[in-house]
Amino acid sequence: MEEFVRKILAKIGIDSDRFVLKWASAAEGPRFVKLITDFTAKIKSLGPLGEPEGVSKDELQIKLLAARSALEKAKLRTGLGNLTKGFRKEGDYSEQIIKDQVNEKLTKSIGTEIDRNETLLRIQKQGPITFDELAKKIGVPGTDIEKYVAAFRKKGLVVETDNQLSATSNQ
Amino acid sequence: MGQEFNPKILGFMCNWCCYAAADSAGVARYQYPTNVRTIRLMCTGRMDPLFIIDAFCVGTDGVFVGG
Repeated sequence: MEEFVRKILAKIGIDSDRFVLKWASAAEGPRFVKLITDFTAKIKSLGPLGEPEGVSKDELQIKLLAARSALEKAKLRTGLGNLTKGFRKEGDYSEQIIKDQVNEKLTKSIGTEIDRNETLLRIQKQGPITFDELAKKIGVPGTDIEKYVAAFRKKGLVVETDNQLSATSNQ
Repeated sequence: MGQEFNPKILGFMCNWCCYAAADSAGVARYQYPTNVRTIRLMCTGRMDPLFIIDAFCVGTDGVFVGG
């Protein structure tokens, strides 16, 4: 899960060092103190969320919401679940293997799922909007956006008038 | 700003491990930063990627998961 979350954070432009997963047993008070102190110092050196990353609050919020709705849907969740099944079968949980597998099997779907949800969110919140504006804001080729939008139109979520995309009112 | 940056950190901790470690650190009177707001889980297995994204959504600067 750690690697998976890191990939998502990197995708939406948040420094993945802002998230850690560490282990300390009930008897390891001093270790816990060290972990917390180090992590606090790390975040302090990074600065407030979004600032060192150089993105505005609103932009970051849209990306986060896109990641949120992508994570709510079955595609990524089953992807992660199936991956863990593989580790259990092999009995190999080494960091390298996990990293490689996440890279190989999930990076692509993380990318497309978040972009897809971001497209819909932006049409709903910033529409009417043109294809070019969308592609520029999201930072993916226009052909990808067209593919996502075609699916939304089929579902009746989005309408196109004079090259402007807007969300249907009864979503 | 002039003020020192005080980060908001959200800590998800397992009832049996890190949460107990935090408790024992407190009992032993170790000093540690107060930036972490703790949420207790009954097991780290309850963690969901969604929680972490949600935490960043509401404006935390860092997320610490302790198992």
